[in-house]
Amino acid sequence: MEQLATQLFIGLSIGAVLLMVAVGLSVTFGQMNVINMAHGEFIMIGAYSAYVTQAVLGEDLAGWSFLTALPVAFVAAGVIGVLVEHLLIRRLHGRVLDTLLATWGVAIILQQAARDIFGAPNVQLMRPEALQGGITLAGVNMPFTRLTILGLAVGVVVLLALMIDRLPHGRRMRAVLQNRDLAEARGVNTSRVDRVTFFVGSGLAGLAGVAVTLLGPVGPSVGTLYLVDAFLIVIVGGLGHLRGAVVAAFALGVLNTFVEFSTSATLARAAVLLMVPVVMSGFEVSLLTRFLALAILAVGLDLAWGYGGMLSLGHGLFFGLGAYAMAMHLKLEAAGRDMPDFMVWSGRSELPWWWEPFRNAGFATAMALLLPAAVAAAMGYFVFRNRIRGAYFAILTQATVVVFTILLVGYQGYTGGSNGLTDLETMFGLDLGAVSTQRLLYFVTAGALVAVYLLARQLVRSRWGRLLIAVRDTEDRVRFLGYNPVAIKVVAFALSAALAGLGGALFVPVVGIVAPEMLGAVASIEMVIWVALGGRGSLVGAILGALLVNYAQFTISSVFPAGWSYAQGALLVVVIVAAPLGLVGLLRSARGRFDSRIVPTLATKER
Amino acid sequence: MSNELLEIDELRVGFDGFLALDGLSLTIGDGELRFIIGPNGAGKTTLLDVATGLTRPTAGSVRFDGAEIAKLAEHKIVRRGIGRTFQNATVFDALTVSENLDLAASSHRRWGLLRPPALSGELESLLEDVGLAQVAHDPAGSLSHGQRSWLEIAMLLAQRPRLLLLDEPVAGMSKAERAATGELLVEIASQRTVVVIEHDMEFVRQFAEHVSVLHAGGLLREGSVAEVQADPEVQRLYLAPDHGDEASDTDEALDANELTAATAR
Ligand SMILES: Nc1ncnc2c1ncn2[C@@H]1O[C@H](COP(=O)(O)OP(=O)(O)O)[C@@H](O)[C@H]1O
Ligand SMILES: [Mg+2]
Repeated sequence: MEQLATQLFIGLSIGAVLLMVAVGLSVTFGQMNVINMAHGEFIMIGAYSAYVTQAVLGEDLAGWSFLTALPVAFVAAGVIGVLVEHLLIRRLHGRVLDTLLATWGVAIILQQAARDIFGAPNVQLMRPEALQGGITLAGVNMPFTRLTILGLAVGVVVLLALMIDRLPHGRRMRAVLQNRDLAEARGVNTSRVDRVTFFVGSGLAGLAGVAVTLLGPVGPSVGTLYLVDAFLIVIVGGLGHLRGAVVAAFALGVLNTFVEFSTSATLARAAVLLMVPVVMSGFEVSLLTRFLALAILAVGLDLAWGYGGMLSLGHGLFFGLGAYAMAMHLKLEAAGRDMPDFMVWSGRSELPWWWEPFRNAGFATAMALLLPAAVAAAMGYFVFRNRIRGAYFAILTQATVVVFTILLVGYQGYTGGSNGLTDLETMFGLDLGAVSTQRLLYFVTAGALVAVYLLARQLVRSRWGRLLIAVRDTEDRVRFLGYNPVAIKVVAFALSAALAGLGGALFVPVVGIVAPEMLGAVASIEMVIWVALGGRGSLVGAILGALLVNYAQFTISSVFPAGWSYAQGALLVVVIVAAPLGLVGLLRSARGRFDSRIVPTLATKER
Repeated sequence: MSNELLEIDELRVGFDGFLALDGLSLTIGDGELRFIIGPNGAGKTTLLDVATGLTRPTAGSVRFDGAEIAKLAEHKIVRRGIGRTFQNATVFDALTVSENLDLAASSHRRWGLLRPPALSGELESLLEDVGLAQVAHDPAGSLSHGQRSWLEIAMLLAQRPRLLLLDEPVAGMSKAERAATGELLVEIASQRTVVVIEHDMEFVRQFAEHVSVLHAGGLLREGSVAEVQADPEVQRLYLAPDHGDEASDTDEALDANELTAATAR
């Protein structure tokens, strides 16, 4: 019982830290509709402010450093927060995705700056003498440090509530929160309100940072850890609702101490993925869904190429098989009892027998995965068994995808020819044009991507994944350990193809069309570019690459169509020459912990 | 030596008309520790290549434990119980030392392949034995030349083959490392059958009992170290005529070794 109460107490104190973080996140989000990925770094700034304060005050005044650090951290984090708001977030007003990416960049920069200034290892602050020891109440041991944190959080929340309730700024805040345009029309200077809100919100994270130093050593990436939970709190507690945040924060803090909660970066990303559609327009949501579907393909391609050394210039084939399998079903759904329109135009009077089973949604979905896997397995078996590798393999896959598109175009009566399968309107009875359907597709696709990522991560960390890397670098040596590299490669290639198929199947309902040009030779090479830019041999790299490149392509080509090709080409050249391991490779080497695991990719004999 | 484990009969291997092995016959008994020596280009490595499926013979047969293996795929030969090391130690540079070892010990696993690598206590003590416990989590690519050889030997042991074929295992090692390797080999040979190809004569003298001398793709002599050393033809061909000064002899052997290692690269 006492054990339980002690646990509960520890949980509450962690909840208190989370609360201070989440409250800031919640107000900035609620008011400005901004997902600030750098919010966690304000915690880090607060923590290092405490560290610097202690260093400046020296040992004699160590007892006072905690109290002194509080205002210092609040102002430091607040000021940097306002700078970020002023220089970046304001300029990206209303562009949620841009803000997310840009503040992510800020987070990376701030972390790196901390690493350069204070060093990568964690630092431990001296605990003020007054806070040593604790009290035992009814058998529950309550250290002063944790009591202080609790008190601090309660004080902060009460003050914030009072401010929102009583102060003029609070009233303006509420006005902006309720209706930004109306508030503006009434003469409220919304940008000033935003600035103050941002200052306070960031400052609160700074206070949380000081609190964190009481719990243990802190390092440059301390913020990432808490940001994950803070996102969850904001989502669970309701956006912009203080009371919800308080309950959710303490609940999560307690949960954290009882359940070994895996606070990994994955969860952070997953949490962000959950939040995104709430704030985006239907169009933006479907745009992002498209990119996420392509990211699933990128994970598959990275498994084959980055980990397995099988450079496929023909993944459009597998993407296409998945996309067409799904599109055939949707086309039949759209046609109802009639024949698909293009077949009528081609003068066919009867549905081909092999179209028939695609009326069944389950069959179509299964085929979207199995068909690419089976084709890849068969192709891989004959190619790998004959020890064909590297450039020959790449050319072979490219040739296969060319043949595939020629067949698609040539048999117009069966495939819709070069127009592809168009006018797909419903999926499983849902209107594809409806915003609710688009949100649903988003969640399904995002969920699939998270699942695929976790599965792939598990795989590459397993013996099988290590073996795949061994095969990539020194295939022949693997044989002399008693393994058959052909089997390993066939499985990897088939899995890679199945993921491409899954990406294709999820892509089709979002865009409502599939055409040969989306999966041809050029498209297949572009897929490789995503992985190359993001960083082969890194799953996160592949995902990032797919998202960033497609996003950039969308942005640039809509204003300056020719520009995209130049940008893409130039980027590829620069990356391949200067950073063969892509963006992730650059980040890793910048962090000074270049993962030697993937270094040999550089020297990989691509015979 | 009633039981023959490896029987090589009239083996012929040609490369574009050039015969690397020319009617070689050789048997290795179960439980033996055999050294194979011979000048550069004698066909020693080719012999191992054929026995492990890397090179296909033009004619002749290779029987392991009574069954013909010359036409089997490499990994199938390994699964029957033959393991080898390479003249230039080959390990997986991108993986850590312990991952290398774990993979070597895991080829019999099925679903276990889907689990993360994990060293059993036995493998950990093997790492201790070869002095790599300290660097267990370093990438194998960062090892020194000697350490790589040790890792490869440890991987070979982790495979638990019945017959171990080692191609110049002490090439490039220091004198102390050579001694340690020799002792390890003798210890292994008490439980398994071991064939060592060696170039360094001092090493052979120290640890070998039974020696086969290869020359120009055929078997020149076979016998105890003393017998082989005393053979005038072997002396003329391969050994220094005067054995009075051991030190200089070793130096020569060392140089020869480095030369082989260098050209092989
Ligand atoms: N793959 C190959 N192609 C052509 N010649 C080879 C090949 N492998 C070995 N040889 C030749 O066969 C002969 C025997 O080589 P090897 O077995 O490596 O000798 P050893 O290991 O005894 O020094 C050498 O003359 C070598 O040049
Ligand atoms: Mg040799």
